[in-house]
Amino acid sequence: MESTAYYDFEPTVQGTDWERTLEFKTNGVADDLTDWDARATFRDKPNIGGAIIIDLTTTPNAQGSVIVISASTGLVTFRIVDVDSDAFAQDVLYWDLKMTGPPADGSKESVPIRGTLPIIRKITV
Amino acid sequence: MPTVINVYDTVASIGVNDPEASLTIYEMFIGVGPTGPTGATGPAGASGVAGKLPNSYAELSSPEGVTSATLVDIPGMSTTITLEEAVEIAVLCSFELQTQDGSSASTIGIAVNINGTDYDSYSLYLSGSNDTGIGAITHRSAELAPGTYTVKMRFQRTSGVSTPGVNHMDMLVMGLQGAQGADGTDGTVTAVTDATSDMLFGETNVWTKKTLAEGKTILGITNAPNVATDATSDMMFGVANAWAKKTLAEGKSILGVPSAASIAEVTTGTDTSKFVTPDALMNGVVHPWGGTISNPQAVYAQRAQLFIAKTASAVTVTSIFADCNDPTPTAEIAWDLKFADDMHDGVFANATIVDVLDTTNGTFSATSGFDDATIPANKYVYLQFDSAPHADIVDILVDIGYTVD
Repeated sequence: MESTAYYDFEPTVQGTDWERTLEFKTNGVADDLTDWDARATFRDKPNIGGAIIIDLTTTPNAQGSVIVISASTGLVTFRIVDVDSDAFAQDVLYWDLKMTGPPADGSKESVPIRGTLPIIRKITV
Repeated sequence: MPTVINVYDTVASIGVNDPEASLTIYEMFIGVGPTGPTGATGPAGASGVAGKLPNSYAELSSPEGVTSATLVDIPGMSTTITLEEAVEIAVLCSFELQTQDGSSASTIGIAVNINGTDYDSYSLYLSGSNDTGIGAITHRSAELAPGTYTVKMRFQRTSGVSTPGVNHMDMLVMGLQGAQGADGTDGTVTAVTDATSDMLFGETNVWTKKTLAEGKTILGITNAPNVATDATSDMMFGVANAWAKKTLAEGKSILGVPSAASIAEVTTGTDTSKFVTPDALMNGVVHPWGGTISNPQAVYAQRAQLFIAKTASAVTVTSIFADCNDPTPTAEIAWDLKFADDMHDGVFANATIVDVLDTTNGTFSATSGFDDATIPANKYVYLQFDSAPHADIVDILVDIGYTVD
């Protein structure tokens, strides 16, 4: 059974662009993420019963928020645009990252990391 | 081999700045190598044991929170188990706990419940919204008599104001008895019968003797109603899905059979529904108007109109026949059958021709094709000569048939 790291992102401000990149390395070498898929759901509660605030996949949503996988360099980048984060009316969002391996390896699923994203309420419109 | 996840604020920071965080995880399915060689065939396993222990399993499908200060059932975490022997019940339960709502600390209690009695109640302190914990409870009951038992997992909030709860929970319940064998064959039916009408019915997988009445009830066969009768004319009718006795009069009313009128009712004639009225008796009967006109020329000399009758009620002319004594008169008779409101000279208000009766060879006959055969009530019916009949004609026979409307 794979383990899951826990990480609370630094707070971000409501209504701003936000981006974080996760670099996956094994033995100091970037993991090959060819044919991998990724999805990260942000909810208002730390379980599946919470309301979905934003759902990031490798396909950009209507505003452009997306997860980008750089396969050869082992990078997974979360990108939330300001139009989407403008709707963050919570003090904290709970998230995890589900990675799905290549179909050739059985499309194995894992959640390598989860945590929170604290939200600072905006003042300036 | 562990995998390291480095967190950067942007891609551009990689290799330039230190990561915000560096986290290590294990066996993320990344870097899986090629499949190794197939291992040697293992030793043959022991012979299998037939049957299985009675067991039951429940799993929590979605997170559940609790604010009750006393133990309450965890939704979905209830099951039953049936013991064939007097043995103990083993309950194995594991779970993950987490604050479901709120950010302050709370304590959650978890317990096993067998047939309404809680056992092994343990608590876990959750420091806040991000705190989680895992736990397990293993419980073995006292020896219990054969039967079916309900096993549940229950929880409570023992302290705090946040909502602690369960993210996931699995519960395996086993009866610690020997494996149950296969079902035996059905036994022979040995029910004793004491009546020729007894019958056997399947009942919860066994044959059971039933009396005739019981069998008819099962088959939905309803007996005829056992209602006493006190007259040979009584009869049974279905009323509201049941049989009910009805008297002759009631039965005739239901059947719509009218009662014949008594002699007294016909004699008094006060109820027209009980006898035939005179008008009805006259329906269709053809009545005659007619007679012989002697010396018609002399009659005409007095008046061109020869009145026959005044109608008491509306009538319909059905036939007209006129015949002169001379079949070859020098001049035929030209006349009409008419009716009017009065018979006064020079008036004859609303005079209407029933038919033109002009003769041919001294004769006229018609049973259809009248100008207006319907004569209302209170009309004067008369013959109207158009001109003076010839002296050849000594008399004329007139016969008019009509029916009362």
